[in-house]
Amino acid sequence: MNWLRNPYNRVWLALAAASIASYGIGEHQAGHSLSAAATVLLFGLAITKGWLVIDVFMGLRTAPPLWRRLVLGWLLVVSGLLTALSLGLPNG
Amino acid sequence: MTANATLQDHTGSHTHSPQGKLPGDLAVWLIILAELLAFALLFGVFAISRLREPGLFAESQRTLDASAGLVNTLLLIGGSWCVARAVQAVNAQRRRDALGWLATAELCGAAFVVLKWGEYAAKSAAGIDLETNVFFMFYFLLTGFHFLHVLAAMVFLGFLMVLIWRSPSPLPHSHAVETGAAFWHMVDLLWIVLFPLVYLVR
Repeated sequence: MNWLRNPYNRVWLALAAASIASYGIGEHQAGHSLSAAATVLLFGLAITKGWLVIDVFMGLRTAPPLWRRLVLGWLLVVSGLLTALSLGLPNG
Repeated sequence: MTANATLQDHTGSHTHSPQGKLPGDLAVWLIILAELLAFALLFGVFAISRLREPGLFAESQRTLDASAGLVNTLLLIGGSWCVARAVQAVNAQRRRDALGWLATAELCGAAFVVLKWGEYAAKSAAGIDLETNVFFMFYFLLTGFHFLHVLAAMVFLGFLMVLIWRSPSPLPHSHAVETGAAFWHMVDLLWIVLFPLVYLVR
């Protein structure tokens, strides 16, 4: 399909699908604590989405490597720490 | 400041700057780094506070509308897509398309603002505010701070639309549009982390 040849269109579709999947995981068994796997999956999806935004939408894939490392590093460190802190929740 | 003075002459059909060049202005990237660090601190303090009072956070989080959070996520992602397509259109000298994409991004931003404002109004009607408990203090601080960034990004895009509208042909450009686009994408990136953290993880 011609429309899908544009990388921005593909990324938009992937971001929307990952967001809907996140909502589905988060709302599954609403009212109960999330399992550790669900927590890791939610932040894993956030990292995937953020990575696509940084590399493709922001265009840092072709930027000076330092800038890409700084912004990607922020995403990985922040999401990693938030995952670890969230896994400390009861039944988390 | 004229459009010619603001926009650097740079034509071509590629989607982003050539290899090795930072898209947009260095100043806005420094601002982006500062914003990312500020939000990282807020996210971290939120997650640590939740560890101390998990019951209160889970109970308060249940009153949030996660479906509104999802729609807001889709609106920001949609806006990011439109802004990226606008940069592409400017680089391809398609002024009308660029304006159309930016106008659609503005609509996404406006819908986000209306929906988020509706959430705040519903909370206020239920007697919930910053002082209700520590969860809601963070909820209003985090989402409110982000809300202000959405408004700033919308003003930025509006300025770019005027710039593109008034620029002579062939369209000079790219630099200013990429600068505004980078700021919008940062607002999107922050929400990508905020949405699971505040609305979903418990």
